[in-house]
Amino acid sequence: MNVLGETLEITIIGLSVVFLVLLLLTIILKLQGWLMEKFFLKSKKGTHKQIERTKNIKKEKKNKRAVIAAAIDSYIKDHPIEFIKQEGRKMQKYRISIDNEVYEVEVERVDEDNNIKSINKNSSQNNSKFSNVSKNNNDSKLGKQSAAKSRAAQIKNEGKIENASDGEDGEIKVKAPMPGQILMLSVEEGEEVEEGSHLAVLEAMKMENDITAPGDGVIKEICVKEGKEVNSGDTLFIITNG
Amino acid sequence: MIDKIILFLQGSGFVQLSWGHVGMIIISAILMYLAIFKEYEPLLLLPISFGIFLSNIPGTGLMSGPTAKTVGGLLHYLYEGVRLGIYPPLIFLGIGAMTDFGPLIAQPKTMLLGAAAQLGIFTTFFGSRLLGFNPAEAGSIAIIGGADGPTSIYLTSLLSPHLLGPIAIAAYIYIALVPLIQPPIIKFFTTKEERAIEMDQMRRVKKIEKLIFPILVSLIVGLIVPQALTLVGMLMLGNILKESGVTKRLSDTASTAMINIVTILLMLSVGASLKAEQFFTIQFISIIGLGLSAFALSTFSGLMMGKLMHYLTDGKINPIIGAAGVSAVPEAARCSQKLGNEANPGNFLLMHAMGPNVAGVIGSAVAAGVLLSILG
Repeated sequence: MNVLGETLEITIIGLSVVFLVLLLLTIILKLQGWLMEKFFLKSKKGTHKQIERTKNIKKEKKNKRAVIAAAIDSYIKDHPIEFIKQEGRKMQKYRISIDNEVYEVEVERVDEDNNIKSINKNSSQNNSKFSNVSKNNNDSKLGKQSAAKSRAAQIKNEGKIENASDGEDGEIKVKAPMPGQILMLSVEEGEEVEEGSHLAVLEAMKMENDITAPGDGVIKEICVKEGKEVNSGDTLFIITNG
Repeated sequence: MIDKIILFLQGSGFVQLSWGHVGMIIISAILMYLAIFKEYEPLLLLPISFGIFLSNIPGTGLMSGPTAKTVGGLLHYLYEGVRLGIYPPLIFLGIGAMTDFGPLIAQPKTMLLGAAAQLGIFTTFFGSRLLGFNPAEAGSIAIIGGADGPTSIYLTSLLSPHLLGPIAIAAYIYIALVPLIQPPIIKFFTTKEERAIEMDQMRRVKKIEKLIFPILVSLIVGLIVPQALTLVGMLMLGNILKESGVTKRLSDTASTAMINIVTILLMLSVGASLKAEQFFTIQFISIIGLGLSAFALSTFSGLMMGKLMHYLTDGKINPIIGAAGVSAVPEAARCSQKLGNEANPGNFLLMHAMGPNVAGVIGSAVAAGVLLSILG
């Protein structure tokens, strides 16, 4: 009985000390990780959510640019730009307002053709200035502006549809699940693969791991070579399906 | 002249050879065979078996201590490194220089899995006491459940040095057998769906976090369990040498040349300390049995903690990484990876399992510190 009591005591003390130490470390590390995220990792390499968010922002920007380009395109079709004939002057600036945001557009004359060179987004502080400009325009122009707007909206929707399909059956990126070395590649570019097909062997911690295809498709690109060291999250293969 | 020949013959091995010696030499030959031809942990088993072989050739005095007239044998002095608890911490220094604590820093909660997997140590302590071992011996046997070779040797050399050989052998046998012992236990207590769970990719860990970690761990462990700091402190020294990036030469040496040298000395001495009268006893068999139960229980308790965390985190944690909380690095983590991958070919748990795995090393060193402070 004495033995039982004594061992029970030691067990309880021992286990609780082990848990206490490791729990304390857990809490401190958690706190440290939280602080790191808050103060140091704000910019680029953040959590998964942050990366996704920046991706979304990039997508939105891309969409917007497409919308703007389309809007300008249709506007210019309706309003041929008359370049001021002046030697040496090829660039002309325009301001265009879409969704209450003002964009400054530089138009360059390339021989006979009118070409949109670049789109610079300015801050919406310019809004008031632009409204002054539009007031000077006559009514007929305003009507055509709204036509351009509707076309822009149409393109915007198209862009959205395109994007959605892009995620579902466009490309699958096969990423490295952990840091290691690519020992062997078992497919070639252009090869058809099925879900579960063997793609490569990744060695990590002296252990060979099989990388398999997450879905059916054709290998569009192999981003690594045999013997290459990869980091967790690096893209290894791009598979297109359909 | 004839007198001298007789004296020489009396000093030769044949005269002193006993059945015990013969038995041990045969055992050492079997172990050498397993190491060389079957490649069972040859880095450890070969020096151990040769140590057994050398010390069981009678009359050599390799293991005998100094007398008034003569100095002691070579192995006697090499053994001092074990007896004084010097080799195991040096091994920890090398392990620290090899280990990446990144997965643990990225997912601190996996630290608790490393704590849970130490339960087997204490239940086995209980069992050993019931089988009649005294508290110090029971503590040494129990630590096998932590599945950490150097920790087992360190604790045993300080608590009950006479059991060193059997315990070291038992500990390393189980570490070598992780790929055989763990999978059936894991498979029995988890479903295929649970093993198939994929875990989110971990965040990247900043260098500054990796530098703070060794200091932080040493400080906290040292303040709470001072007796554990010998092992943990050396582990963390090795790690800071690695992570600082400015002492590449030192960390390279610690993780390659030095750990290899110490491994030779440690294993040779452990082998040499094995005596025939220890090997063929009930005691040895019960140590092997108790070690196995300690190991199985640690795996089980790690798994249960994994399950608990699985439910608490809404299924984000795959319970089988809990089994990696036993500190056999990286065998236990590899085991989780293999089983997870088997259930779902797109599942890669290796890095996630390294978190509890290295936490287990810290956990069993702390457990050893606790046992040392209570029983020592």
